[in-house]
Amino acid sequence: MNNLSTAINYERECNQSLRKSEKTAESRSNLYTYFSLLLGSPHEIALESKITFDNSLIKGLPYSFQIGDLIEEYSGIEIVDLKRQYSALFEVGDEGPPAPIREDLFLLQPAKLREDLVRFYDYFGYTLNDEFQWQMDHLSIELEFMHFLSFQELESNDNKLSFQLGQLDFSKKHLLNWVPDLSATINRLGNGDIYSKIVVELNNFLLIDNNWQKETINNIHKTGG
Amino acid sequence: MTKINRRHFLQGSAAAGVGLGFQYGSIDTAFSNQAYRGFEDLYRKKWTWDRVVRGTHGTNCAGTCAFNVYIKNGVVWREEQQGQYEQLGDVPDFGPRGCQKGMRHHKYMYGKQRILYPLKRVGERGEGKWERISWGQATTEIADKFLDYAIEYSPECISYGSGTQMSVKMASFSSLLRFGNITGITVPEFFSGVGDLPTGSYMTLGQVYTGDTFASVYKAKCVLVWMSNPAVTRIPDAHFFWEARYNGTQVISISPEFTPTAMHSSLWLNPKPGTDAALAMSMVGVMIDEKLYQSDYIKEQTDLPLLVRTDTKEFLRREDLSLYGLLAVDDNVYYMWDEETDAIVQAPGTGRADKPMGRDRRKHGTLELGNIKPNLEGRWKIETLDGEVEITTVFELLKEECKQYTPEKTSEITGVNPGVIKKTARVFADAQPGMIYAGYASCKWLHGDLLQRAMLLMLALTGSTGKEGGGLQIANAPVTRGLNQFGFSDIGPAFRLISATTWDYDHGDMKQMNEKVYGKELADTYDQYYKKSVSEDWFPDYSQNGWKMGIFAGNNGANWRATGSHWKKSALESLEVIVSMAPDMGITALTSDYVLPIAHHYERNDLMLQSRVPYLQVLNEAVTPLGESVDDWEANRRLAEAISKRAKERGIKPIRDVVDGRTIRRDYTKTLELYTMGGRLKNSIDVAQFIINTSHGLPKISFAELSEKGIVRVNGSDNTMWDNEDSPYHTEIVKSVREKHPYETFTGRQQFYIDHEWFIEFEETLPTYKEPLSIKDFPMRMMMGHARHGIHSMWRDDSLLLSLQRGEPDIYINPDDATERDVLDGDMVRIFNIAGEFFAMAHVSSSIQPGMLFMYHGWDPKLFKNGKNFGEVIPTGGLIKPTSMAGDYGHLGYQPLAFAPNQTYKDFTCDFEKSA
Ligand code: SF4
Repeated sequence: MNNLSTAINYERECNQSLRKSEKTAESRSNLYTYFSLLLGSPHEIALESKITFDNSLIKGLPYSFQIGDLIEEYSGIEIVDLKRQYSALFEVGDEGPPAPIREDLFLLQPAKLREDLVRFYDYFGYTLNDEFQWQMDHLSIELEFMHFLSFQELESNDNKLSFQLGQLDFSKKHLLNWVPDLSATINRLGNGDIYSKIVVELNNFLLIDNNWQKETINNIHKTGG
Repeated sequence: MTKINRRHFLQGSAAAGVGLGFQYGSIDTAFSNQAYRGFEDLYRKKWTWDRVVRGTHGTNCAGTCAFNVYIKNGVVWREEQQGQYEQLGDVPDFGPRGCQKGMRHHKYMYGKQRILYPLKRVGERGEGKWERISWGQATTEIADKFLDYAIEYSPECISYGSGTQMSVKMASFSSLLRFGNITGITVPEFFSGVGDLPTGSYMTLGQVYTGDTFASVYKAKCVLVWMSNPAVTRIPDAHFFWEARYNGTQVISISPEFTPTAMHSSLWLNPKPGTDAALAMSMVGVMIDEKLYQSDYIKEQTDLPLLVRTDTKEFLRREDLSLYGLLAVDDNVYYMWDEETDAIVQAPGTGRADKPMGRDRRKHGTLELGNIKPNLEGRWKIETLDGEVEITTVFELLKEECKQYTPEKTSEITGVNPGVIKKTARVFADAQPGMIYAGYASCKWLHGDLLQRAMLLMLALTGSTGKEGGGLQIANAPVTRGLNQFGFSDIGPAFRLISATTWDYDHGDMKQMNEKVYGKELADTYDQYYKKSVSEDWFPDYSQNGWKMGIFAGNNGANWRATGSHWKKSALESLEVIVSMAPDMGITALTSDYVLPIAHHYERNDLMLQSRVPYLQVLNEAVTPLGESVDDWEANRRLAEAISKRAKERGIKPIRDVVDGRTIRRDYTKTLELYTMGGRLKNSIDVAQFIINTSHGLPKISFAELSEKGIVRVNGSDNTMWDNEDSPYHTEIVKSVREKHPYETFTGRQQFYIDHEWFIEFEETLPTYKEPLSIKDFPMRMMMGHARHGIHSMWRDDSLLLSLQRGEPDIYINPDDATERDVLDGDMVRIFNIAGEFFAMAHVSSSIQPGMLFMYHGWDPKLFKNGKNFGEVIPTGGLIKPTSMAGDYGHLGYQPLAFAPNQTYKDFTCDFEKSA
C-alpha cells in the first residue's frame, strides 16, 4: 500500500581496511599543513623561520607524493621576494588579482559559497580568528580546515566517519571546485614563480588525495520510507 | 565551550606535524565532535546573526537610505531597509528607502575591485605592476615628497582632490578640511568641478541652495522634471512623483530621450538636445503674452520693474542722476517708475552702501513696496547727467527678448510642437505653485546658466519661488558651521579651496584643446577674457606655483573629467607624484604611484546629511575594515603623523605661506598635533561627535545613540520645505519671499537682468537661448546621464549589476542613425571626433532622437576596449565662458561653492561607425 513512498537512500561508510586512518591520517594532515603554510600570505604570517621539510612527517601517505624539493625551493627565497610574488599573483592587479587566492573571488562571488564554507567550519567547530574571518575562502585556510579534519580523523575514537566524510565533501564542494581552474589559470599566466609551482603541485595532490578518499568510502543502498 | 588555544605551526625550526595547531583559527570543542553524514547536516542548523548594525552607503546618491546590516563571523552577509521613517504632515513618508546598488553592497565590498593593502607602483604608470607595501613605508615616502614640494615651492602645488562622495560624509569631509587647513594644500572644490554648480541660480538669487525635501514634490501642482531622470537616478524618492500624480499633480518630463521618468509622466516634451533655454523662453513669452503672470510677486520680488537705460543697456543708477551718486560707492541704488506719482523712485531694498553683499544683507532693508506702485511696462525720457535718455523696465526688455521665441519660431529650434509649448506654459502658469525639478545636467551645458535663469524666470512669473511645493529644486546643503568649526579651529581659516575648472585650465593645456576642437577664434576669445578676469583679481591665479603632486580621495577624476583623456595626459600624468586613497580600483588609482586602501561603507563611522531627506543618518563600522584599509580620518591621521615625524627628522623649519592675502605660519612638525587637536581626537567617532555638537540644526545626540537608532530627524523639519532657521539647511530664499528680506544679489532682488559689461557684450543681460557648440563635420550630439546601476563609477563593475544590463558599456542609438551606418543592435561601434575615440556596444533604441547618442555615465575606462572611455571624445574641459568669470559686480566674482565656472560636458558632437 505504501510502496510509492518507499525511497532509496544512500548511506556512506568507510572501508577501514583501505583507509588505515591510524597510519594515513596524520601524514595527510601534515601534507595539508605544508600546503597551507606554503600558500599563506607572507605579509600576514610570521615567516621569520623557514619551513623545514621532514619526510618522516608524511611517511604514512597512502600514495606517493613528493613535496620536499618544492619546500626547499620556497625556503630559499627571500621573504621580500615571496611577498612580491605572492601579491603580484594573488592580490593585486588592475582588474583584480590575476589569480585570486580566494575561492569566492576566483569564482566571481557565486551565491551561497561563503555561507557553505561558514557552515562547514561552524559544524565541525573550526573558528577563525577575527582578523581572518572575512577571508574564510582563502586557499590556505581551506587547506588548514582539511588539515584539521584529517587530524581529527586520527584523534577521534567514535566519530571517525564524520571527519572522513567531511573531508570528502569539503574537497568536492570547495577545493576541487576551484583549485583545478586556479591551476589552469596560473599555467596560462606562465609566470613560473614559486607560487605558480605550489598551486600546480597542490592541484596534483588534491586530485590524488581525493581519488584515494573516494576509494575508501562506499555508498550503501538502504531502503526506507 | 572550551577553546583550544591557537598555536603557531612554525616555532623555531620545527616544521609541520607538531599536532593540531593553527595559523588562522581554533577549535570549538562543543561542536567539533558532531556526527556528520552528509552536507545536508550543515544546513539543519538555523542561520543566525551575530549582530545587526545600522548603516547606509556613503556615496553621493542623495539617498542616505537607512539600512540594517547583518553580520555573522565578522562578515556582512546582507542588508535590509530599515524603513522607520515618518511622514511630514499629510505627505507620504520617506521609507522604505533603498536601491539595488545598496542591496548589493554586501557582495561588492568583498569584490575583486577592492583595494586591500597599500600599493606602490613598480612598473610604468598605468602598466598595472604593483608592490604591496606597509602603511609606514607608504606614508613616509609620501610625507617626504610632500615636504620637498611644500618647502621648495609652496603647499599650493600639492592638490588634495576629493569627490562628491567625500562631501556627503561629514566626518570624513571635515577631516579633509582640517588636514587641508593645517597643511595648506590645494583643495579643488568639486561642486563646479563636476559641473553641478547652479551658477544661473546664483546669478539670479545670489544663492545656489534652493532645494527642499523630496516630499515637497507632493505639494506641487505642476512639476516640470527637466533634464532629470529621477526614476533612474533618485530611486528611493521617485515615488513622490508618482504619488503626486495620484494626488492630481501634473508631472511633465522634458528630456530629449524617452526616459524611464518620461514613461510615468503626464506629458513628455522632447526638445532637441541643448535647446531647452529656447523652450523656457518661449513659455515665458506665452505667460507674458497671455498675462498669466503674478504681477504683485514680480513687482516686489524681482528686478523686472527696475529701470534700465536703453542707450547703455545699464540699470539706471544714482550716478546717472546726481554728482553725489558719482562720488558715492553705492552703485547698487536702483529705480522703479511709480505709477502713482508718475516719477522714478528708488526701489525698496536697494542702496545698501557696503558691498559685496554679505549674508547680513537680509537683515537690512526690505522689499516691501509700501505705497509704490511700480510700472512693469513703459518707456520714459528723463534727464540725467548725460542729458536726456530713454529708460524702460526690465520687463519691457524681456517682452522684446521673448519676441524671438514665439512658440512657432521655438518649434523650429526645439522640435516641440507650438501647441504643446503653449499648453505646457498655461498648465504651469495655472499651477500654484509650480516646481521645476532640474537635474544637475542643467549645469553641465556651456550656457546652462542661461537655462537656469530662464527656469527661474518661469518660476518668478508664476510666483512659485519660495513657496512650498514650488521653486527650483536642484540642491540644498547644510549650513556648514560645524564642519568649518572642526576644519578651522586652532589656526583659523587657512584653506585653499580652489575652482577645479580654472585650476585645470591653468594646468591642463586647455586653451590648446579649445583651439584644436573649436577653432582659434573661440580659443583666443575665451583665453583673453580668462586672463582679464585673473588679472583683475576677479578670479585667482593658480599658474604661479605649478602642480607637482596630487592626492585623490573619494575621487575618480580621471574617469569623469571633461576632456578626461587630454587632462590625464597633459595634467595628471605630468605630476611628479600621484596618490590615490580609494576603496576600489579605478582609472585614477591605476594611474597613481601610491594607492592607499580606504574603508567601505559598512566599515566606517560617520554622519550623513542630505537635504532631500529630513534625517541625520549614521554610518557604522559594522565590520572591521577589510585588509589594511582605514577610514579617511585615519588615513589623513597617518599622513599627518608621517609628515610631523619626517619634518622633525629632517629639521624642517616653519614656513610662511600666504593664503588669500593672509600670512600663515606652517610648522609641519606640528601637523599631527594640530590634526588631532593635541591628541584629543582619537578617531572618526570623536570627529562625528564634534560635528553633532557644533552643527546647527542637528539634534544633540551622542554618536552611540545615533548608532543604535540609525536615523534621527533633524530640527526644523515640520513641513516639506526648508523654511525654518532651526533646520540645518539654507532658508534664505524663503525668507526673502516671506519676510521680504533683500536677496544677496546686486539688485537685492531676484535678478534677471545683469548689466555687467561682459553680459552686455555677449548679449546675456537677460536669459536667452544660445545654440550649443558643435564640432564641425561631426553630426551626432552625445548626451550622458546618471545610471541606474551605479553611482558614478561605484558599483559600475559589479558582476550582478552588469548582468542586469548588457554586461558591458553600451551606447543608445536611434534606429535611423544605426541603419544609415549599417549598425545592428549589439554591434560594437566606434564613437569618434577630433578629440579621440572609444568603443561601445550599440544599443539601438527608438527612445533616442535621430542625431543624438546617449550613454549612461560612470563606466570606468577599464571596462572598455583599449581602456578608453567616453572621456576621449568629450573635449569641453577648457570651455569657460567669459560671463562665468565676471567680477567686480555685486555678487559676481569668485565665490567658492557659489560662483565659479562649471566643468561642462555637453557642448560637443561626434560620429560613430560600425567597428570590426
Ligand atoms: S546606494 Fe544610495 S540610494 Fe541606493 S540604497 Fe544606498 S543610500 Fe540608498
